[in-house]
Amino acid sequence: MKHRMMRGGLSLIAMCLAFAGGWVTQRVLSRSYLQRGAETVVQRDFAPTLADARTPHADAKVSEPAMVKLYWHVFQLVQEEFVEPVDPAKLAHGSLQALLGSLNDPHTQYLSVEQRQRWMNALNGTVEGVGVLLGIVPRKQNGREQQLLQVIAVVPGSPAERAGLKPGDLITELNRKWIISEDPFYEVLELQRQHADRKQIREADQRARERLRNSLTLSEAIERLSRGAPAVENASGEPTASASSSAKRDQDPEPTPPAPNGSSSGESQKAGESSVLELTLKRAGQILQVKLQPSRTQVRPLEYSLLQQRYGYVRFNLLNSAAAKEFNSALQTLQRGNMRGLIIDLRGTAIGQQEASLQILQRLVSKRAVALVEYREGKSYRKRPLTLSQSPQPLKLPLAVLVDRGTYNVAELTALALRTGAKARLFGMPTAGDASQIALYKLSDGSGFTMTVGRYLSVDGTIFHQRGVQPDERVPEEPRMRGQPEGDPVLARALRWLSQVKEVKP
Amino acid sequence: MKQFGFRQRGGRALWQFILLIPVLISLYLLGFLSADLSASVSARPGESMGLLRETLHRLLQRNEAKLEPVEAFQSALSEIESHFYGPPPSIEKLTYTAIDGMLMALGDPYTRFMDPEAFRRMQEDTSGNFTGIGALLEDAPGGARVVRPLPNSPAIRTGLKAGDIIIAVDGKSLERISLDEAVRMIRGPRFTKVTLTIRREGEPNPLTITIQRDLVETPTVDVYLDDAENKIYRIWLQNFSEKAPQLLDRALNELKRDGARALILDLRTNPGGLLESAIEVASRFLPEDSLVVSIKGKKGFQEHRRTLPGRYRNLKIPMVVLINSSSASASEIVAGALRDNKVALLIGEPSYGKGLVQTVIPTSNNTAVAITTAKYLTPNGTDLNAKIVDGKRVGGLKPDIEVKQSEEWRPGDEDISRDLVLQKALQVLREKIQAHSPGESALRARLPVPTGSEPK
Repeated sequence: MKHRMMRGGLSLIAMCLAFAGGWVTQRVLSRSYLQRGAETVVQRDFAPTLADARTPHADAKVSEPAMVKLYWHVFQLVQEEFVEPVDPAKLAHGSLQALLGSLNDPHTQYLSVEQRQRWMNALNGTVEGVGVLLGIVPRKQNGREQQLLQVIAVVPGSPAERAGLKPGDLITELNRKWIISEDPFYEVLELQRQHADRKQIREADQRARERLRNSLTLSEAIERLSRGAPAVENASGEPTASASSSAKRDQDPEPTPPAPNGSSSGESQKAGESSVLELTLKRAGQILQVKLQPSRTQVRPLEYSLLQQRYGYVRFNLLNSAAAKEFNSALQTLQRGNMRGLIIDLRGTAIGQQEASLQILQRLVSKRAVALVEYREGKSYRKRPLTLSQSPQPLKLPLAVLVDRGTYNVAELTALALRTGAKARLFGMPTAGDASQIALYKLSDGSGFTMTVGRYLSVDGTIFHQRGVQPDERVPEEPRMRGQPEGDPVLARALRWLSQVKEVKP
Repeated sequence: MKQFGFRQRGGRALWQFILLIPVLISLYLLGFLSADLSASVSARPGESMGLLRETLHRLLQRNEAKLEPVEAFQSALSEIESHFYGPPPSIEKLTYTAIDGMLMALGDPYTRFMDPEAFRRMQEDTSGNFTGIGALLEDAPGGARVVRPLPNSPAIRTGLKAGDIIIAVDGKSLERISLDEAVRMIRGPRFTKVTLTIRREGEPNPLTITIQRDLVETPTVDVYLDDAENKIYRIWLQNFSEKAPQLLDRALNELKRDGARALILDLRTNPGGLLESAIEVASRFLPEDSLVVSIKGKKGFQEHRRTLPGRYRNLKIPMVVLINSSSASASEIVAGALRDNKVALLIGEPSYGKGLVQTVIPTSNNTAVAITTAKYLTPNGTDLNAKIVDGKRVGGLKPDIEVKQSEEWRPGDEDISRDLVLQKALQVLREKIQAHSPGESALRARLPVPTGSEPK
């Protein structure tokens, strides 16, 4: 009896333990699983003119969990109650678009899967579309808030370069469609405020509607300029920019040949019409018309040569990891040729990443701290040094850097760090003046977003945001043949300075 | 025997042990499952969603990883909070924006989020009453013109007249101030005073009038005798508030007493209101148990709303309904029901096209969300909701007789000669009256003899 009771009790205990064990296992498993899941939701990585920011907190928490709960609640309600079927991914995209857009920062935006892929491709040297880096500049004119589409830099070898686009150009129209740069109903509102005549208001309203009918939003315009293959126009003339169709187009990278002029065969003419983009530009108060055809441009990370009198010349088209690697072998070759000084050409260098810039600087500067980064912590702003990961191995050669208006972001940072850290002399024109430290995030579905996470300053605290990096010698003349001293006044000036400077003896 | 007995006992223990193992295993699994179940039931963001469910979910969607809104929002928000370089953002505002964006992605303008401010305003608006002076205003050069003071309002008691132009409120000029802003300046808490500077025709100098603000009942039903000779009455129903059916009854009693011979139900510029009120109104004009509207909800759920018993007035006089582009929602339900049940013709302009039912659900932090939970279909199955095609609204109710309204006309206009829609309605009804009572019209020699074709 005793035995039996004991046995019964033991098996009961064993049963309870088994149940509890199952419970605990689930909890432990799910916790570790969720933690892994949470980490993969957001992932920072590099992209054009991108910085690596600090490593993200693995278990980042929002300071007001009640707000996350509210969001969750609304999402649940929509899923349960909305009359039509709901696509959660679509809601997530719309939500992030609004969230990031509301920060009103030019580098903070949501990126679709294709857009993010385009960023990554550009960083690796494959640039789609017309080959320009575009920015949106806010401006105020007669009390009206404007948002203008500006060319920041032109990719070497791209259709845009062939068509003569220049950094600083404003793009006002695409295929004769107005790119919406201001509220077209501004005039209507103004008239209403003045209690103007009903008829007058109605006319202004009709004008605004007419203008809007033949227009493109800024993001539509950017999309069409940065897509490799042309947009397919449907019967109503509206671009079909759906994700699926552009994904299909990606698989067919062959650019459509330009349609012959005056061709009357309907099919080919239609394709030709939509593949050639017609831009209306504003440059220094002048209006220009430009036609170009988007295609895929392959950009070599860098080009180099040993010029006369044994001066080395390295031109960076990209500041990516490939460029950093090639830079090392370029230096070896140049040094075998007994180079006496080095010219770094950063004119038009707009695509790059902070990490690659640091790797390049490591071979040129003498100190580990190359710049400062200002960042926000809570409500205050702090600065921290941006340092090389390895100790510097400088060349100890006189150094000249060529810059212009297309020298952008990480390239500006590089030029400035060379001046402060390698006593380089800068030749050319003031740089673009964008010191934003930008991070690219990857979300679990392959889409992502970019966000400004800091601002670069020179190591001595000089601000170059919006001001640009000023050259030591201003050379406004444009080169006819870049990289050839005869046809490149900026290079010629740099060479002249190098020949005068005393050689630094190692 | 001993051996056997031992064996038997040992065999039983073994047997029991073997039996216990599957029991233990299944209990283990049961524990696992119940933990999983309880996790998914109490799922909150950041907590376990139930491992099995999650794993299954992930496995099924491995090939096309989809973004989950709450996760994506939470991670983006925390990144913004800790790393965004710009001015430190308000988490509340960012959340509201993110929710707005999420609802926008549904493509339905009526599913929207209300922050505390918007929610409070909505609650005030639907109560049907506000405090002010009770005058209908329109834009005018240099200020706001009084279209008409509302009956039984502070404005009419203090002698504000139609046509007066308000040029200043409490000494502040209305020059360069929008009508909306002017209205906001004039409205205020009950029993406070507002001083208006007005320009009145015939008076050389501006007048000042001080009016005590009071509760103003938003007008609901107005009755007009548009054609005294033919006794054609018009009932202008301006909204579908709770009081609308009762006020409509009063108006219909008046018509009966006066021996009205035709009725115009004017639903122009009526933005709608309560569904119950629309059913009540339709029940006055349609026999008991007629279909008024079908409500089509999620997953094929459908509800048929029919007219209520004991409400039918059986007027036995010809009737038309006027609609315009500002007739929406409940107005469209009533107009559609009267047309589809062949009680009235629709005259005017295509209606607005709002055939969606919203449910307002309060959420935390004094916010709320309005979600479109169903669609309205007319008895004939017409989807009332307009769609946006090429930037234009397409849909709504198409009138049987489409009349383009004169641009001078505005709602509540006293001068009916420029109301082209109403003129057409009167013409249609006159013909009907004559068709209904040829004997009487024959007695009146000066009236044209009816053609005999009765418009249906």
